[in-house]
Formats: sequence, structure tokens, C-alpha cells
Amino acid sequence: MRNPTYRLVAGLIIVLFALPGRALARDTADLVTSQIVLERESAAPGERVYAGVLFKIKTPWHIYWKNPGEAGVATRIELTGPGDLAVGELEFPTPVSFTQPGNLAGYGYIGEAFLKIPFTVPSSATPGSELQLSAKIRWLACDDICVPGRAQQTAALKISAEQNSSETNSSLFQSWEERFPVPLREVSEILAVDQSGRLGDKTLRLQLDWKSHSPAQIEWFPATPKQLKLETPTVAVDTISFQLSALQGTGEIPEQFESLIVFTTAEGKRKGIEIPVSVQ
Amino acid sequence: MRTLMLALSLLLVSASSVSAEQKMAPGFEAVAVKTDGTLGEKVSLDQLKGKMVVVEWTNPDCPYVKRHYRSQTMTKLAEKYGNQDVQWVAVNSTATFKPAALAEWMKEHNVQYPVLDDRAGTIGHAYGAKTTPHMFVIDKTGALAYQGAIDDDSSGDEESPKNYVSQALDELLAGKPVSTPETKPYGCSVKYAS
Repeated sequence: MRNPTYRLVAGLIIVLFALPGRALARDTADLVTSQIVLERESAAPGERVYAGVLFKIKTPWHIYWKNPGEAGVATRIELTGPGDLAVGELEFPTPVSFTQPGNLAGYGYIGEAFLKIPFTVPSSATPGSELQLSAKIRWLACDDICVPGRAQQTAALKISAEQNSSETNSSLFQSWEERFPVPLREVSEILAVDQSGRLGDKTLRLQLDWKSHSPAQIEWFPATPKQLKLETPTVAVDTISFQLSALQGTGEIPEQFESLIVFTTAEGKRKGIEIPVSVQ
Repeated sequence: MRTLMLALSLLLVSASSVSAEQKMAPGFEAVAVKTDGTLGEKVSLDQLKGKMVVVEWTNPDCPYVKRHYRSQTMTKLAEKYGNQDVQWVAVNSTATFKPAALAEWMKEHNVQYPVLDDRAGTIGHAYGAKTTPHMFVIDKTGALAYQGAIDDDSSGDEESPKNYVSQALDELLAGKPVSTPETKPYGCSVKYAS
């Protein structure tokens, strides 16, 4: 094989045949598409506005919640603007749970997901100008194999002199609103939660008091921070119990973390309630 | 009754001699994949008694493993610490991996340590391996000194991520306690048979 071209061709043929058959047979193009959408067309300096990203996920693939579960990696969105744009926390809609091979729990989304992140229009923004926003989006899509993805999306917000100056361009925001979890304090007429136990106790327990109508069953999604290990969660309609330990050397332990209780309403809709778990 | 009391006291003694922080690493035995794609010698934890051992869960199809092998994270560590009497062992518990493809990957990345065939998932389940990568560091007494993520940077953004495996190995070699004995691993789920 002295001829270099011959070698190159032979090499290419070998490479093509060596590629895992699955990668050639599976169409992993456009597994996940992402699209940035602003809540409104225009806003005034100092106003708080949401940017949303709609993910469309090819079934049966999934992407992950802020806590992916026992494996997987959380979906991430970094929103930047000019200067030091004040950006809030990324908000995730109520996830579903799925079981991955080996009985590993996963939390995330199938079909579609709409995530949103608030930002504040800088007080120095000039009415009549446009605020350029950039979203760096990353996800891991898994089925029986995993394919990471990333996208960069931009959007422009018109700066107006007065607040509430535009019709909210938010049909997507409105249609997804009920698919976001609500804080417990907003549904205090439905549910009261009493926690016993803290980090250092053998078992932590959340006692659930459903005021009028108790659902048949519930799911629980803890957003366990990286400094803690949560084990043996037992979930029943009136009690959630689990064990909590600190992962030494992983940084300062937060005072509390969020968890979601998810149930199906009488109308057949999945509803999520944010329950804080006190750590110390 | 006397037998029962004897059994109970033995149980108490054995339980108290292994504290919660000194969990022993589960034993393992499996064949290693050879670079010609055939299955070769059996490798067992017993054979490595008295050595420090790093056990790495791998799956060449997982993007997180791909990224680390592109930057030679594992191979460089295996080489560096191999010179300090640390044995690196990789385990593939992917139910459907093909030894021939795995062998190609080993050659491509110059993997010098054994890669064990755990398609049955026995070793994976014994260790509770959840992700690829998922790392376990075993000290010379056979206790699990570290388990969890390879480092603190799941997105691969950081210039100098904190590598928990080299941190644990450095501390063990210096006779110090391991400052971070456990972290949550990141990566693809291990693709078990069941």
C-alpha cells in the first residue's frame, strides 16, 4: 500500500465499517430543538421580564430536570445581556419521572419542555433602543444512548419609556403557566406541611395535611443540592420520609432545598407544589 | 438460646469493627477485553490485595466518557498514579457492548489498564454504579476511600476542575484522611441489562 491515496481510501472504508452500527442506523439529528421566546415585545427600564426557551424533544428521548435523578445531567440556560444584566434563577416546569436501565430514577421531560428565566431591564437602558439578549442552552438527551446538545439563541427586547406599554406576547407563557409548580404558601388552603427531623437525625419526615381533598397518590421530586445525599425516600400521600447526610468537602451546606410534590387534580391535570426542606 | 446470643454478639462485634466511614469495597472478578477484541484474563480485586485500586465505570458511547477520553483525563491519571503503585481498572456494564468495538476504542485512546466485561451487570450492581463515568477509589486495606464523580465540572467548562480521584489518591499517598469521600456522580446512566 505505497500509494497514499490508496491508503486514504482504504482508511476511509475501514472507518466507515468500524463506526458502531447503532450510530449509523439512528437518526440523532434534531433530537432536541430549542427556541427562545420573550414574555413581551417591549419593557421599560427597571421592569422584570421573563425569557423562555421552548424545547421540542423527539419521543421517546428525554432531557433532564434541575435534579436529573440518579443519572443524567440537568438542562442549563445561561442568559446574558449587555453589561451586568441582572438575571434571576432558571425556572423548570413540573417534571415527570422515568426509570432508566438498572432501575435508576430519572427526572425530566418527554415531548416538550418550556423553561423560563427572569431578568431586569437595566435602569440605564435607553427608551427607543433594543436590549440584546443571548441564551447559551445546553442539555443531555437520552434514550438508551445519550446525545448532548447545545444551542445559542438571541432575542431583542424593545425598550419603552413607560411600563406595561405593550400587549404581552405571551400565549406560550400563558399556556405553560399551570405546568409550573406553585409555592406551598400560594396553596395553603389545599395543603399544609410539617417537617420533623433535620440533617443529623436518622430520618427526616414531611407530614402532609391535605385540607379538603387528598389525592389518591403523589410523586415527590427532591432538588437535592450537591452537598447532600438523600436516600431511601418513602412517599405516601400523608408522609414523605427520607435520610439525609452531608457530603464532606463539597462546600457549604445550604439551609434548605426545594422539593416538588406532584399529584393529578380531579380534572386530570398534573399539579406541582414547591415544598422547601429545611436542612439545619 | 445460647446459640442465638453467640450469633448476636458476633454480629455486634463485626458491625462495630467496620465503621460507617470504612465501608469495604465489594469484591469483583471478570474477564478483561483484549486489544484484539477477544476476551482474555480474569482480573479480580483479590489479586490486587494490598494495592490502591481505582475502579472506573466506562461506556465509550457516552458523551461524558468521550469528552474525558479526548482530554485523556483517566489515561493520564492511570499513568501518573500507576508509577505510585495504584492499579487502575475500568469496568463496562453496558449490556450490549461489542468487545471488538471496545478494543478499537482502547487502542485509539491507548488504554493501558484492564477493561472488564460486565455485560451481566454483576459488578455494577455490587458497587451501585449509576453513571458513566462513576469512580471508586479503594485504599490498601480494601476500604472505599472515595466514590462519585471524576471531578466537579459536569459541563466541562472549567479550566482547572477539581479532580476528586487525584485528590483522594494524593491524600491517601500522604497518609491523610480523604477530605471529600463522596460526591454525586454525573454522566449517562449505566446501560444495564436489567
